[in-house]
Amino acid sequence: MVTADNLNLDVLELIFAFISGNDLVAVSSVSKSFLAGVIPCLYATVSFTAKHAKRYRPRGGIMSPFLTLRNHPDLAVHVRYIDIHCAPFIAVGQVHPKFLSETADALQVCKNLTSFVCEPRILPALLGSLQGKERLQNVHIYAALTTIQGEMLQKITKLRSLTLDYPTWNVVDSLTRWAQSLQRTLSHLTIFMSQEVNGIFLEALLPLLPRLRGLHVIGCSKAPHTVVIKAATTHTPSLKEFSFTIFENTPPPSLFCLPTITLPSLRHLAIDVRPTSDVTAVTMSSLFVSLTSLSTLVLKFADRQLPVWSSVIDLIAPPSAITVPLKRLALIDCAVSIDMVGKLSSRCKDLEMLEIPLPIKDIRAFTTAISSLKELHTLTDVGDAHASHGPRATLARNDVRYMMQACGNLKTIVSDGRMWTGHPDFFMGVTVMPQRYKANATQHWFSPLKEYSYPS
Amino acid sequence: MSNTDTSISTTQASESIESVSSPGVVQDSLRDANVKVPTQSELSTVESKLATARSKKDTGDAAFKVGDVKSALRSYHETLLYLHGIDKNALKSLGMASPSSPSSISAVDQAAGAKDVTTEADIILEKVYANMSACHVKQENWKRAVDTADKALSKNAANSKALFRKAKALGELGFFEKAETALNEIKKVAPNEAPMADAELARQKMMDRERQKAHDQKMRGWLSREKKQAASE
Amino acid sequence: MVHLVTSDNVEFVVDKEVVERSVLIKNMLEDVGESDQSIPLANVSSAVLRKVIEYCEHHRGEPLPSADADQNQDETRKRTTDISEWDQKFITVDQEMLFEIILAANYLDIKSLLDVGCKTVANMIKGKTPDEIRRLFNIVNDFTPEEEAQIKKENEWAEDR
Repeated sequence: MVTADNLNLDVLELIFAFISGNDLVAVSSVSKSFLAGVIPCLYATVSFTAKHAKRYRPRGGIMSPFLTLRNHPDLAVHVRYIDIHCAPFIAVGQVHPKFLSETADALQVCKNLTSFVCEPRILPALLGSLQGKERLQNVHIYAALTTIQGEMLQKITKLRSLTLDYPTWNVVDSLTRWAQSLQRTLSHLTIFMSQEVNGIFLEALLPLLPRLRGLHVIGCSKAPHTVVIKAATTHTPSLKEFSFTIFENTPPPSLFCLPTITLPSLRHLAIDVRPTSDVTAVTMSSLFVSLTSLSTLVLKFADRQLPVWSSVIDLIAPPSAITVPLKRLALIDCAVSIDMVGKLSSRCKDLEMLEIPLPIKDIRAFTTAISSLKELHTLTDVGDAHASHGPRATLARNDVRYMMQACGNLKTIVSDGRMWTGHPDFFMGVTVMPQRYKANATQHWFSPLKEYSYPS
Repeated sequence: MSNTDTSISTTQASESIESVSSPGVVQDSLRDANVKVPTQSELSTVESKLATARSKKDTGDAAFKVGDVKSALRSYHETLLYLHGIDKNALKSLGMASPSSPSSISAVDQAAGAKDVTTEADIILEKVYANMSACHVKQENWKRAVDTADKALSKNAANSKALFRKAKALGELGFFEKAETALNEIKKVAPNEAPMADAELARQKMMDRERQKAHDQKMRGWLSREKKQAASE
Repeated sequence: MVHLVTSDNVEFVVDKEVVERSVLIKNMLEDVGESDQSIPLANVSSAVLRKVIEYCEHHRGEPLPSADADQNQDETRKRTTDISEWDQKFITVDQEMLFEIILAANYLDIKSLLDVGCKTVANMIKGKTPDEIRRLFNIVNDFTPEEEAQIKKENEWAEDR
């Protein structure tokens, strides 16, 4: 007789691939056969976050997954993704040495690693263990390294995606050499917050990376949008994803020729808008001219008190004709009036995902404003508690139900760390269920969503 | 496992098949966390299925040897029908010498290694799939040759014959880069077969060049035709 | 028409289009051609095959998932557990039959049916404690108390992520 306990190991694995989080942990202590079936799924992604770091003690606190991997090296074959978001500190500026050695040892045995994310400044301790990973395709690191460490980094080849946060000059400097061994594979490059990246550097680097489909240069003060756009349109015209920063001190466009993004396959565009006055609209006006293929637009503003300018909305979707069939729009760190929302909804009729600050106190009027979005399925509140003084209202169950009833296709609303899911109900019209929600912390705000990423 | 035919030249090697019936497998019972003790009747059912599978495979091998690829494929498929979905727990017990499990090995280590346990069915499956790939190569059914070689490789990534057949078929399908990866893999897992892999690589490079040349010529003709047209206008 | 014989020696005669939902059988028919010779399904009983054929009849003609699509699905780390209404009704069977169907779908390589079965079991597990899961499936806890405590400790990091 077949029972759950004697199903084949492969079948148990298939079943457990459909569960996550706490359920995986519960399954692991059911029985030996369930443990064997759940291990591949449980250890496929190993992550260490602030929550873990807080409870980490050399003795008695939470056990780091890296210690478990060191104790049981057989688990390591299953590890595909390592995400380190945070490191535990023993004193100010000093990471627990035991954590570093556990992590280095664990990393050493994870031969099948495909993705490595390391956001804290601990990479130097791990570089040695990161060598020789034949399947490593995605690296996202805090890249403050010495020249010698930078050379070790260069031994990693065959990467498809590389993200360098706060890279030091020597890492940037070596990138043109590293690019020689990455050029057959690298399709996505992100450089975040570098003071070294400039026009000359980009003009030298990009011709070496013909396979590039995603380029994100954000917060690099010597690489303002005019420079990044020029280099990208010249050398990597097949880009599908593109991000850059518009700085306050960018020379007024009248002095230069107006930058135009002529990237015929562009799908995802993210702009970090630093200037705080409407003058930027002039800078931006020419950008959107030829972007008929765009499906995702993310705009982040410098000051969350600023209203999003009417002229910006006119640029995204001109009143005359809808030139941009946007599916996802995110307006981050700005105030959006209900009038603006109405204007947007009447012009971007194809929107499926909308990320804006939700006016919780004015939810009825807001709902009316978005009710013309027939395709909208996900609404994300990007306002946060620090935005306004005093206690902030949170979205109530009734508000959620009201919104989902008014917008027929709307199934998911994310606000205040909760994700509401709607299900059709015979008596109530819609029933809604809240769930704890954590945004994917491994990605920068300007990166495309996983399920929306565009294969090359 | 006796590999007597590894040194044969390229074309032969891609057609030679594994004809030795698999010997019993020595079990690493210590690491096996997944065994529930099967009943006697479950054991005998599994044993008789294994016996049927073995004899079907032998029939297939014999048919392949006399060049009857179609019959060989039918027998191999029937082997699959007996082996897939076989009761793995009973199968594992069959190979077990003694079901002792010393307490020195932690439950997690046992569980983590459970997947590594290779059963006799896995070994026959590996060979049958590798042989099916040979059949498909012979019939120039490249797509299926790749599929079946991949199935064999999923049982044993170091099966150099499966790698070779996969590489050949990939090359014929025009995936030269993937073919090169597979051929380089052969050099890693079976260094003594490196010359064979290199020969195939050279053959494919040549094939690629020829193809490119033909293509260029066609394009050139097309371009010059256009130029002529432009000139005449 | 294709002739199938189950482990308990019952013969089924099924439309080629229906039986080809099974990739295992589809590949075989493509490789060796159709014939009157029956196909021995050594690891499926007639009771289970009847259910499987019911499923294949209902989904006849729908596109089969390609191997590439399969890989991509594994890449996107999160997967939904939604099940369509008909499938939901179809899979409402006792536990033993549910597991038999899953094993048969795995054996015959019918991806969509395998998913329906696995999702159903996954949904039964969701939100339950280890002890509730044991009672649900009538599983004996074969860990020593020390082992269980150790496993809980070692996997605590994975909670609520």
